[in-house]
Amino acid sequence: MTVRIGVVAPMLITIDPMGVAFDELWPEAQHLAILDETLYADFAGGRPITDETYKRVSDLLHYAATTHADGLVFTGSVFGDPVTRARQDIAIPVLTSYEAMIEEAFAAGTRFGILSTAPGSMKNLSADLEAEAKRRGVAITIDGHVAAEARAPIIAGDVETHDRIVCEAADSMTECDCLMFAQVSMGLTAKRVAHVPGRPVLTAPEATVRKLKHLLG
Amino acid sequence: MAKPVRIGVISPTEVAFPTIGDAFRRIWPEAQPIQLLDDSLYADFIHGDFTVDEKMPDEAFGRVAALLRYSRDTRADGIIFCGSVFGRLVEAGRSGFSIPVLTSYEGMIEEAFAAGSRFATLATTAGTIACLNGDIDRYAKARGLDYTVVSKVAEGAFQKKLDGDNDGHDALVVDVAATMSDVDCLMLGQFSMGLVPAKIADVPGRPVLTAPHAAVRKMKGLFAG
Repeated sequence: MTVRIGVVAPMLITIDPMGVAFDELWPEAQHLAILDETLYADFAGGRPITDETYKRVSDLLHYAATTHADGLVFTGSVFGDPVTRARQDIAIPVLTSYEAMIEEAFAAGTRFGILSTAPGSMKNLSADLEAEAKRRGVAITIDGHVAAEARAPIIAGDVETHDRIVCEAADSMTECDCLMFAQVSMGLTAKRVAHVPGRPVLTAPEATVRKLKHLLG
Repeated sequence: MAKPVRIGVISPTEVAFPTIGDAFRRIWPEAQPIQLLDDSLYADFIHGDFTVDEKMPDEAFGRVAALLRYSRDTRADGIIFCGSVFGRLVEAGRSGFSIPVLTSYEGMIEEAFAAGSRFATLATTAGTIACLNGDIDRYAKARGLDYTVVSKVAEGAFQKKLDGDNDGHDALVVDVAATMSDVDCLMLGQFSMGLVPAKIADVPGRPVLTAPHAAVRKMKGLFAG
């Protein structure tokens, strides 16, 4: 039987990077998108996470779980905690957008670079890394850079401008054990970053597909 | 400022979004159309040639109903469901809703009966014609209306669309449309044909109707009062 993964997305631009990661790393899996734009409209961009947020994320994941999916990934970085809460009573694996990448980061070292195109994602990923460091009892350093000027172009579909800004920023972040991209929508840019020996570039889509393949493949 | 009216635009495929977005921009720019996509409906219930079983399984009805309820609970003030093969399932699933839920065709079918009773339907797959004509028939029977319909498939156009040859697709549709002039209105069956009418030669007394634009007009009318 083909393994089916539900890609639960709050933004259209996160669907393609996940699809490309599946095609490259796990082409045998069937990946189907479930998009709901209302979560970002109501709860992102600095608006508070409320009880309704938890319920809405939970409703969406429970709906997605009924579509014959064998596993789910939620591609929105701002809702890590609601996803973690909601999956407690879902029987199939449900990954947050960051957790697979964070596992790979700790396998690579303790000096982390983070490149983001939105300040909120930087904050969320840093907090997730700090929490994981505490859990493991290790000391980490985080060098973060927000390339906010790349955000408008990628939402408008101008991939070239987005990628140029991200690659330039990545070139200046070489003193770390790995460089993480904080947005799923940056997933296709990693291949265009100049190679630096000893500094792998980690993306959420690729790490997620590797982890799901390990769990379900 | 009053909050914009939020319309949940549900689709089983991404390709419907540009056309419905165009319709909102032209007809009702003040509204907030917000997209809800579920690829799994096509994967589970549509055959490779875009036809469906005559009798859809109970599970399909349950899944469409669940998706409608989900959309309603995201603060939607109204819902347009863009998958034309799911008309019957949407009609069943919306029962008991307090907000308006439109199937992809019913706005267009209403406009058609306002224009007359001699209809032409044109699509790029036979499956779509079957769905549209079925929806017209259920609408007419429920209201005791008489009508006639002639239907044609623009052979080869669908493949051109899949190949990304939009101009080739549009040219084939335009050619067939020119042969269907002696009717009260011409209905185009696919959402993906929604941008073609501007290219169809004008025939006085034969309006060309498209589903996305009619759906947005109907929904706007429901909120105007």
